[in-house]
Amino acid sequence: MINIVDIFVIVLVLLNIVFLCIGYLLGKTTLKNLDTVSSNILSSKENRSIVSKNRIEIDDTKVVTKINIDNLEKKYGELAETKNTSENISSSVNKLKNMKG
Amino acid sequence: MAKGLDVGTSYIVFSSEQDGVISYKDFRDAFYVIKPTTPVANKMIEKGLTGKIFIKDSDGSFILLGKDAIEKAIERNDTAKRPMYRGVVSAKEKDAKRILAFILKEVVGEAKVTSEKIVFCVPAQPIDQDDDDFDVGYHEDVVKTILSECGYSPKAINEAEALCYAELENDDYTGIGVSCGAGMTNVCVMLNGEPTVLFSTTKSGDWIDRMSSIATGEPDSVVQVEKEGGNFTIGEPNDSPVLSAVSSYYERLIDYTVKNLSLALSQHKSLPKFKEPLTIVVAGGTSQAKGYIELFKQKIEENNFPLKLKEIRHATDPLHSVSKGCLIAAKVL
Repeated sequence: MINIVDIFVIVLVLLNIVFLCIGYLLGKTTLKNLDTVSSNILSSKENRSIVSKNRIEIDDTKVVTKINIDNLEKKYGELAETKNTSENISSSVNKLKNMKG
Repeated sequence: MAKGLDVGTSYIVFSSEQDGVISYKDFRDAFYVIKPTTPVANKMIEKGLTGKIFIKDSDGSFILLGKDAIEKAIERNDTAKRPMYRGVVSAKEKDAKRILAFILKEVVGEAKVTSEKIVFCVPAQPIDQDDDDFDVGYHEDVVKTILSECGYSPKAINEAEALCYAELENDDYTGIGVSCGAGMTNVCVMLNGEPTVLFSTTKSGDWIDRMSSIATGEPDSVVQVEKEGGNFTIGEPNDSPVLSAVSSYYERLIDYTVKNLSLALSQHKSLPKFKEPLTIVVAGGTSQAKGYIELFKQKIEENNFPLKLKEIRHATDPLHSVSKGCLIAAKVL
């Protein structure tokens, strides 16, 4: 004869099986979504690295780019004095011009 | 209108001519950065820099320029920074291009007419060093960019070639120019106004400062100021340990320069055959030391120089000759 304890045990086992099945189904669904999300993340990361590999970067120690000095504020009057001399270079210039043709 | 510009490691010299009068504008190529740590320090530093030549950066730093930079560095037992290293824009200093651009624009100013010609000097490739970082092309492009932004039409020539244009008129522009700058020593062999041999060596004024600094334990800027004070003669003993070291390294430098000059010329494949003995003209700040030309002559005799010489002389204005040569070139080319 089946007593109450036996019935209780049978119900417990059945409940365990049911919850196991529900858990399995839930887990499978969740993992599927995670998989999609992580593969999306992965592919966007890959895309970014592909994009950054394709980005053209200029090495400004080899190519001259704009040299910005706008943020340097002058705090003095005159940088250097001009000195005049009595040298005359016109004969040098004329002689050199004749030599070079 | 045309202008000349000597873009040197130690000095920037701008030259122009008006009504037969040549004007020079010199500026020391150096800077020194002071970063205030607090707003109070910021105000105190700015007050303390009254009368000095300085600029303020967007990050709040104060950047002293020129000889004021060197003086401030010495006060702090430090060494001033330079936008140039061995004759070209320094790859080591991250602010080099900005500071050089600022100084050049201030010194040359805006062109008086659009596309006004300006000739600036560049060093030759060194024969005593294989250095991939030595990029004259890049340096030339940097300076051209800066000068173009001021409205000029810039052109580069070799530094020693410019010296020949300034000093060899009476020799029919045939001879040898040796420009002893801070960063390098540049050499040009010129024949009838055409540069035939161009090269440089990497030991010059800065090398003397560096070696003397190591020998004495003093910062490079301190050595430089003492050296430029001129209270020594090359080859003679001196009471000052710094000047004694400087004198000693000057002897080594002149010996090294002459040996390399003799070797480079004797090995050169396309050295012209000169009919007459030549003149060697020497210029540059480094050549201003007492006894330089005398020792240079002595070393030339000792090292079996491959060409016949009639004269070895100092330039009439050793500090300004290269800039004057650039000005002459600007009017000719």
